[in-house]
Amino acid sequence: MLGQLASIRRSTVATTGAALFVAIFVTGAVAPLVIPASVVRDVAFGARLLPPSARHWFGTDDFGRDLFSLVMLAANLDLRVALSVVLGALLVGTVLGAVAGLVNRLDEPIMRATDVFLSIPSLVLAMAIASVLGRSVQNLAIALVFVSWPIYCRLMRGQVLSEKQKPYVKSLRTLGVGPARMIFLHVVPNTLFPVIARAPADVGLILITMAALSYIGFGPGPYVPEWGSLVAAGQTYIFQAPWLVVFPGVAIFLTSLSLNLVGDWARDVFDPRLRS
Amino acid sequence: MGLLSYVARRLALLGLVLLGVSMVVFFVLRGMPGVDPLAAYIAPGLPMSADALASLRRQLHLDEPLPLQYVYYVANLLKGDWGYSRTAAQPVLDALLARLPATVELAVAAVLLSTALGIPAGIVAALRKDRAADVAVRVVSITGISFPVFWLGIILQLVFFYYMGQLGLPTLPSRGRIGDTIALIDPITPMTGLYLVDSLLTGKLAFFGSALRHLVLPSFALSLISLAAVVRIMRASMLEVLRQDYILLARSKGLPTRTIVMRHALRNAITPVLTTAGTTLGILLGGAVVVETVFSWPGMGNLAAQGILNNDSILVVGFTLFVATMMVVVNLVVDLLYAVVDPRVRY
Repeated sequence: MLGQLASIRRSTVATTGAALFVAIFVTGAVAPLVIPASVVRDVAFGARLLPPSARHWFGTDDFGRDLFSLVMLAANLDLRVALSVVLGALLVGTVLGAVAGLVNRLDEPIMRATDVFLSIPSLVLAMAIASVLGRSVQNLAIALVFVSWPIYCRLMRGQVLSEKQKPYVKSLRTLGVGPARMIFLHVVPNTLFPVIARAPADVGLILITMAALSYIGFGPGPYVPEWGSLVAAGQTYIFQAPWLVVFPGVAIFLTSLSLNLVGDWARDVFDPRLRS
Repeated sequence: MGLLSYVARRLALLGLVLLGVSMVVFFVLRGMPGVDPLAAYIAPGLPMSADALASLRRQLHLDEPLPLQYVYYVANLLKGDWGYSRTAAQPVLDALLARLPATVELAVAAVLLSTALGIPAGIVAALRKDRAADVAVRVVSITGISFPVFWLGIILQLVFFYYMGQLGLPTLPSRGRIGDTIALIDPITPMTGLYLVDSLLTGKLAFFGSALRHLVLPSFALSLISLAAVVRIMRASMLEVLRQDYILLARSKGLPTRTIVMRHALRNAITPVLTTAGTTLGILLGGAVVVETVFSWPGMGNLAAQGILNNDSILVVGFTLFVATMMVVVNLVVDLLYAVVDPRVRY
C-alpha cells in the first residue's frame, strides 16, 4: 500500500492536481473568515459592471459587488456541498454494498434497487427529487446523495464477494476468527481502497452537476455566493460584462480539473486490472 | 440459447425495470418525508379553502394508503394521464411529446459528434499508448470532462456569435432551432418534427441550412459530456483487443498494422462503445436540460428547467419518468441489435 501511495510522487500531473485542489480548498475554508460579509450584502449601484482592475481583480457584478470576493466565498459552499454529498453517498453505498455482499438474503433486493437507480440518469433524477423537496441548496445536496450511492454499492458488493473467496479468509476462519471480527477487521479494510479511489473524480463530477443544477434554477439566490448561480446571474450581461461569466466558470473548471487529475491517478493505482 | 428466447427474456426484464423505475418515481412524488404530496398539484400562492383542498385530495386519491395510491398512479400512467403541467398549460405527456423531436435532434447530433471524434481519438491513443499522442488525447479528455457544460455553452456563444460578429466574421446562431425570418416566410410542414429531416424531405434547402447552423453550437457543447467517456472506453477496449492471440497471429502473418486495426481489431473493440450507447444517451438527456437552457433550444429539457422555476414538480417528475423510460428502451434496442449481429452475447 505504501508503495502505491508513493507512486503519487512519480506522477507530477497528479501532484499538480492535488496541490491545486488543496489551494482551492484552503481558499474556500479561509474566505469567509477573511472577507467581510458586507461584501455580499452591500449594493453599490455606482460601481455596477466595472471591468477587472487593480481595485476589483475580477470586476464587479450588477449589484456593484466585488466579483473576486464573491468567487472566493463561493468556493466554500460549492466544496462543502460536493464533499459532503460524496461522503454521504460513500457511506450509504459502501454499507449497503457490504451488506449485499455478506448477507445472501438481502443481496437480491439491494442489488435490484441499485439497478433501477442506475437506469435513471442521475442529473434528471436529482432534478425531480430536489424539485419535490423544494428549491434550496440543502435539498439539492440531499437529492445528489440520493442519486450517487448506487455506484458505490455495486462496487463494494463486487469487492466483498471477491474478497470472501480469497484463501486468507478461509485460513483465518480455520484459526477460529469469528464472522464479525472477520468482516470489520479483515474483509472491509481490504475492499475499501478501490471504492474510495473513485471518490476524487466523483467530487469533481458532483461539483459540476451541482453547479449545473444551480444554474438552471436550484441555486441559493443572489445573497449566497455559489459558482453556478454566479454564472446564471452573469449570463444576462454576457456581451456587456463577460467577466461575470468567465471567472466563476474558470473557478468551477479549475476545481473539477484538479479533482479529475487526482482521480485519474487514483484509478490507475487502484484498478486491479492495471496493477498486474 | 436461441434469439427468440433471448428477446423474450429481455422484454420481461424491461417490464421489471420499468416497474422499478415507476416505483422510484412514485416514491419521489409521494413518499418524501415532510412533503405534502398535494402541494405539487396546487399553484403556489393560490388561495384555496380547506374544503376545496380536502376534495382535491380525495379526487387525487391522496387520502388512500400508499400501495393503493401506487396502483392508481400506474393505471393513470398507462392510460397516458401523466398529470397536468402548469408551466406548459397542457397535459404533461402532450407537452413532453411536443418537444421530443427538438431534443432528439440535439441528442442524436451530439452522439454522432462524440463518436465521430471519440472513436478515432481512442484508437490513436491505444496504438500510441504512453506516447505523445496518447498523453495528448488523455489530457484533452480530462480537460473536457472538467468543463462545466453550461459555462462552455455561454463561452461558445460569446466567441462564435458575439466576438466573430464584432470582427465582421461569419457567425453562428446562439439561440433557438431556426432563424426567425425563415420560419415565417418559408415554413416547413412538420412530419417527423426533426427539422433537418423534414426540410430535406420537402426540399427546403434554406430551411435545412438554417436548422443545421443553429444545431452546431448546442450539439458541440452537449457532445463534450460524452466525448471523454467514448474516448476512454474505446482506448481501453482497443488495448484489450490488441493483446489477444488472434491479433498476434495477424501480426505474425505479416499483415500491415492498418489492416490489423481496421479489419480485425476494430470490430471487436468497438462493442463496448456501442453497448454503452443507451447509458450515454441518458447522460446526454440529462445534459440536454442544461444545454437547452443555455441555447433557448425548445426541447423537453428546456421545458423541465422552466418547470423547476415554476415549482411545477408534476412536470419535472414526468420528465424524469419519460427520460428513464427512453433510456431503458434504447438500452434494450441496442442490446437486441447487438444480439442479432453477434451471437456470442446471447448468453
